Amino acid sequence: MTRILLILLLFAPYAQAQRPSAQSQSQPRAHSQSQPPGITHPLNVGDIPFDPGIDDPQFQLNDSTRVFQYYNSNSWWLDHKDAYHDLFIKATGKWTAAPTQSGWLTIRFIVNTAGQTGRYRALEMDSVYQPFHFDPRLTANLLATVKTAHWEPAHYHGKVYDTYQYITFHLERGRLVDIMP
Amino acid sequence: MKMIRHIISVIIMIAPMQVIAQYNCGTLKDSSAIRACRLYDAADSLAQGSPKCEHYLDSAIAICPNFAPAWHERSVPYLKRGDFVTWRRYLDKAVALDSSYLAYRC
Repeated sequence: MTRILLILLLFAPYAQAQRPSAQSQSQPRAHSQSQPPGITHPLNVGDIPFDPGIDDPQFQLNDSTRVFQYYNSNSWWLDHKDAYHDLFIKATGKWTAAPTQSGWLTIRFIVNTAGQTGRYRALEMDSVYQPFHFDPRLTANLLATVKTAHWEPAHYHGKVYDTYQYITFHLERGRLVDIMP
Repeated sequence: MKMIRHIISVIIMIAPMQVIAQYNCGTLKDSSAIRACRLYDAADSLAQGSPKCEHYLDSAIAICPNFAPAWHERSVPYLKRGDFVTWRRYLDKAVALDSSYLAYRC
């Protein structure tokens, strides 16, 4: 009994020390919070600000200062990605023998609390991690397929949050070889 | 005696967990590296990828451009958020300074 109490006492400060760090990971901070003077990063890494030239003004966020990352809570995508595999294979079907179409194509976007999606951005790189442009028709096909898929925002402690999501397609000579995460 | 053995075992189990992600700045000799290291450790308590965290890491790099952990930590949120080109750029810098970061590139 004494041993159990002793072990609990030893673990208590450790558990306390870890709590703030876990919270900071799961609850993204507002980018409007107090910042040091002369700060050079107005946004969180990966934030997608509204661009009137390409974004749908009808797509609204519930709270633009607190947008989760897909990994901040249980991810709907990770539980359902297998169901979409064939759909994405079909989207790349025409390019299966395109020798120049190799690399990673990432589509990043936001799922709002209503389950709508918007602010799509494509990030493209070749097989050696250098910036690259895939055939625009291939990108458009994958983008259209992502848009037709069903998406769910993050749920955390009974609340729903706007959520950043991305999907990376690994392509070799136009053939889809992997989907991440 | 048996009790002491138990206590020592528990401390040995817990000790490494307490220092995860914290760099031991006391092992450094160069004053700019020590200052960079302290900023790096301070950044560890901030939300990863937040403006404040990035600012701390940039400051660490500005003070000591050869402090590899700051370059590595700078790369991580880009990896987790799908910007692999930027991730690779920062990680390559960390690897060039300290080959032990090569494992993160696999």
